Amino acid sequence: MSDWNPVPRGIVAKVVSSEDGDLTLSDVSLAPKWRVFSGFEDVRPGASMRLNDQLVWSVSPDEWTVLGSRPGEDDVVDLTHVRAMFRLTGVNASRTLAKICALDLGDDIFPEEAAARTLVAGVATELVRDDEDGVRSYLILPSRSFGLYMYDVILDAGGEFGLG
Amino acid sequence: MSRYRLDPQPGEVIDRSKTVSFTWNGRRYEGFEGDTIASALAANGVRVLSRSFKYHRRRGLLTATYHDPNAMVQVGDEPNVRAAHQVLNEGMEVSAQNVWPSLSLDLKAVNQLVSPFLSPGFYYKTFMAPRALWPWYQRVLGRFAAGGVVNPEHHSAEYDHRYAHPDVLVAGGGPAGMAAAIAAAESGASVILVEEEPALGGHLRFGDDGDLQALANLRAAIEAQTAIEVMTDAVVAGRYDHNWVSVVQRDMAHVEERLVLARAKHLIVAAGTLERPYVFKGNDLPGVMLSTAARRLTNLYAVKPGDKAVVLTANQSGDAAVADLERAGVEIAAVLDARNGETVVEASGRKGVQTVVDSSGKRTDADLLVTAIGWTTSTALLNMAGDRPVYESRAARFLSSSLPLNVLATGGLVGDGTTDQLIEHGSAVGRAAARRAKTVKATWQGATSHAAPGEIPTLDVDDHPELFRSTTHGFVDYSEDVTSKDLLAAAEEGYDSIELAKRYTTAGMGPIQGKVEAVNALAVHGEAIGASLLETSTTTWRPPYAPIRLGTLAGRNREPLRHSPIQPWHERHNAKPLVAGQWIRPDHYGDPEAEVRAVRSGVGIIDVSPLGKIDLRGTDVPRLLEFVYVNKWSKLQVGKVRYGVMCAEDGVIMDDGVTGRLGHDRYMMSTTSGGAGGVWNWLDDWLQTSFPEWDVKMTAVTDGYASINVAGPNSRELVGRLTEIDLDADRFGYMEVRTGTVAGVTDCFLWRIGFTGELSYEIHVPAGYGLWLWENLIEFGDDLGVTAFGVEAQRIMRLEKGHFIVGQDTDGLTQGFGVGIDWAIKMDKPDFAGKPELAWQKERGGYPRLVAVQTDDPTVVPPEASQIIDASEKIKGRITSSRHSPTLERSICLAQVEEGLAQGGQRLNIRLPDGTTVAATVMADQAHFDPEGTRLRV
Repeated sequence: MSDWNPVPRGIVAKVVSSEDGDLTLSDVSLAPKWRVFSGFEDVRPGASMRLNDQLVWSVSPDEWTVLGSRPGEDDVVDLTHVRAMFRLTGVNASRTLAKICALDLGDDIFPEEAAARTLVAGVATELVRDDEDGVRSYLILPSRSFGLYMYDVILDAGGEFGLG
Repeated sequence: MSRYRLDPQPGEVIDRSKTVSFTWNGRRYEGFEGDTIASALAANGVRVLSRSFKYHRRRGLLTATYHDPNAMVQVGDEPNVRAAHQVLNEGMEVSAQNVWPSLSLDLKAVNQLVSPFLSPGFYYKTFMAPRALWPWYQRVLGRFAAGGVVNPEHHSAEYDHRYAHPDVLVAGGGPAGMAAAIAAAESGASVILVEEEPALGGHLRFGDDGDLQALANLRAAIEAQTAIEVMTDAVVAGRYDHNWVSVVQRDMAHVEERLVLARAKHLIVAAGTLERPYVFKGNDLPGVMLSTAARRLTNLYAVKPGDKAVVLTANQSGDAAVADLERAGVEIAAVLDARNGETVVEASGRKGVQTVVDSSGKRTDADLLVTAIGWTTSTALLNMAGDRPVYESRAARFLSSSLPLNVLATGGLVGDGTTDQLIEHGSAVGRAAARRAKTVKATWQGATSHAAPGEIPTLDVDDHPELFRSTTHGFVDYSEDVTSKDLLAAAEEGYDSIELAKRYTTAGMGPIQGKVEAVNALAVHGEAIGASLLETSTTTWRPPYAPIRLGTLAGRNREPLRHSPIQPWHERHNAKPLVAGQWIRPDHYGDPEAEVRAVRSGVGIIDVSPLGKIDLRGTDVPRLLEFVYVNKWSKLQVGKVRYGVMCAEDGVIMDDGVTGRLGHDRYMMSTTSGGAGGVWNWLDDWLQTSFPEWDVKMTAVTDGYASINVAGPNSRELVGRLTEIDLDADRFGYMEVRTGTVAGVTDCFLWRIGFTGELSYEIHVPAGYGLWLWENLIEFGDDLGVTAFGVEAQRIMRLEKGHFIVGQDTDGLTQGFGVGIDWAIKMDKPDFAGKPELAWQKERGGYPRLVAVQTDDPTVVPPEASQIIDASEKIKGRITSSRHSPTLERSICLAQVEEGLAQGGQRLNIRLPDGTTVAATVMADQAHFDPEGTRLRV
């Protein structure tokens, strides 16, 4: 048997930014993600919470997605490869998403720590608002097979704001 | 500079330092940046812009707005451009539409001579018989159709969509609308302010110094408000339930048009009024224009609209036009004051107005006749919000009457007033709208007590004489060439409802859709049937308010596509793509039959990543499986997989696949590629509605695994080179599953199954490693002759084996017992989905069966859907799948046939699409190849 050294692949494994740096799209698909069915009852559907090195959110009753280290619960499904994940950061992030997502992303409806399952460009997607250093930022998680399509669509929508 | 271009005007929007050249009907002209096509032409003395629809009469500027019925032109390869709205661009090639051979000499104007015969209903009456000539009529009449020329080679322009969720959306950027937006924003609301013209201001833009000062103040206040998003050159096209508002933004920097889909918590309609033309003989001659058109030309574009003018005025707008024209150096030959009973009876002239006859019979020479006889309220959005505007005879126009709680109106829709009064009213409405939006938001967040909506002040109306038609007849609808005489004739013929008369005469059905002509049509129709405007019904405004391009409605071409992680390899190896639902899959890599031979003789690998995969955990998973599959599951041991078929509640086969038990309480279900989503929904539905107490945790993990089927006699050898999992035939048997590490990747599972009929292992590897595993299989199988095979080769092999494909060999009526899986349907189970219907199917019999069929002539492959017929040519079934089998070197089929024809050895006739008939035989076994399955169990 050979000495295997497998290397996982993301979707595009790229980070693209607008020239002014106000909008950045990164493929972070390989970040470990988990589905659990209990243990995070404080996190209500529609919300997320940071717990040490984990970001936990829920978009439906009795199900939680955990980003980060593997949770200790009995039933844990590895979602790392099930979902692609993109991070869209910048002052124009919500304006970019407004072209492909019908959800109201205004601060009073979808503030920092909000989470939802919604359609983005026609694809069922989990969307989490996870600002970085006070800058608006969204995690976008479609099923992995839609990853390339989603990347292209976000890039196209962000073109107006210099993304690409 | 042209003698029609005036010295700088206080409110002008042109930039005289920037000349823009363009052509009009092939001749070169110049205008200034900021000109519209129409203003630049007017500045060059061009007065005729178009020929009318039916009679091909010369037409010039009437309203000088987007909604000018006479100012539609061809620009380059784009027809129907609104010349009085479209801003001039360098190098524009502008030409007149629907003229032959030219605008100045249009031979189709011969229609005028026969106008007495072109009465309403002319087409309906004339071209009815004989019916056989309809196609010919259509061709000839088509040549007379109005409109420009579409270039089929036109580049595909870019359009897109955007969603918006403003607290308040204001439709109309005149003084009241601007004030409403400012007040709403000051009250904490987020606001979108939409204005059809290229700049905010409404009538203030072409007003006097006081108006311009008020406008400057409003603009400054709006610029200071970050909560207001201003959309100019944009139009609210429709208002739907719950304030779903569509806005079309034109001429964007990145796209040609954008459709904004706005969910406004509150809508303010401040659409204002449009000036109404007067109906009299000659009212469509070039040189007859509305007071607002004359003022726009003079004040916005510094263009002198004529040399010598007669002004008919019934209001301040007409009075202001007199002052503006005088300032512009136009000789005012006469002012007819309608408030004193004076009016116009006729305008005449050859190519434009030359003489005006007034109600005293006096003739005045003039090349310009300006009319200011009243206003039409822009009630379209009010209508769409459920309002039924009511005619107010004192103001001679319709006014808003009752609106839902989430819509308010301000400005000209409500009443009249000074600029200050309009601003005051708009501000109050803006504040009220912000309050109501806040209430809506609070309701969303669970509040139950509502703030009082707040008082909306009233706005008085100015007295205005009711003027619609003079003592003579003229055009009511300029777009469709409908005259007041036509409307009277229609009433005479019995069309005594405006809804019917409108359709009969086509008044209001042209490109302007009634914005300019509807109220005149109503008034003339009312005159004919002896009813006042208060009594006649009105026509209903429906979306869209203004034309929207089809491209705008379509937006971006966004069809979601799914790719397997191995797709890059497929592309590099020239796979022919197969679009399977949303998935792009390799159909084959050049020669599917060679791929089949390689699998049957050696080893092949196929990417089956789209297979649906559902992770099931919990103590009640066996109960779920027992319920959703027709066969038995309760005794499935760890390490085993089983094939299962699902039937819906009506007994119709909905999906099939294998499910394996990976651990004590852990199962992995696979579904067909196309069925994955539907099965997941169905299972979730059962669990949530019928069995909520069951301990089943379900996660869709289709995309989490790249799935590769390694098939062929050498598959054990190949897979064994990549894993330490024990593949020994005795310890890892057919229909078993193992978990472990493959090619260094942990958390894989393998099941030994065989859709192709060969020894095969389906390896499921975390998707990020899919390409890695695939490339290693290719590399490590090199000496074994490993061959990548596509969907087509797999389909041939499964047909050789007689496996059906749900949706291909079954249809929406195929129930469980019809496909040869009677052995799997366990009617002794207490219950399962579809059981009652399946019981009934078995009892009644007489249903079609799926059978293997071979033609006598092995070279004939009957196309799928070929019919199976009996001696009397009655249809008795159909071919559901057919291929040439490279293994058997003959054609093979699956077919659905009537019960009586399903026995092995039965002779059949198959009718081919070309009409010939071939003979065939039903096979004893559904598998054409290796019916005993010995190749699987090695």
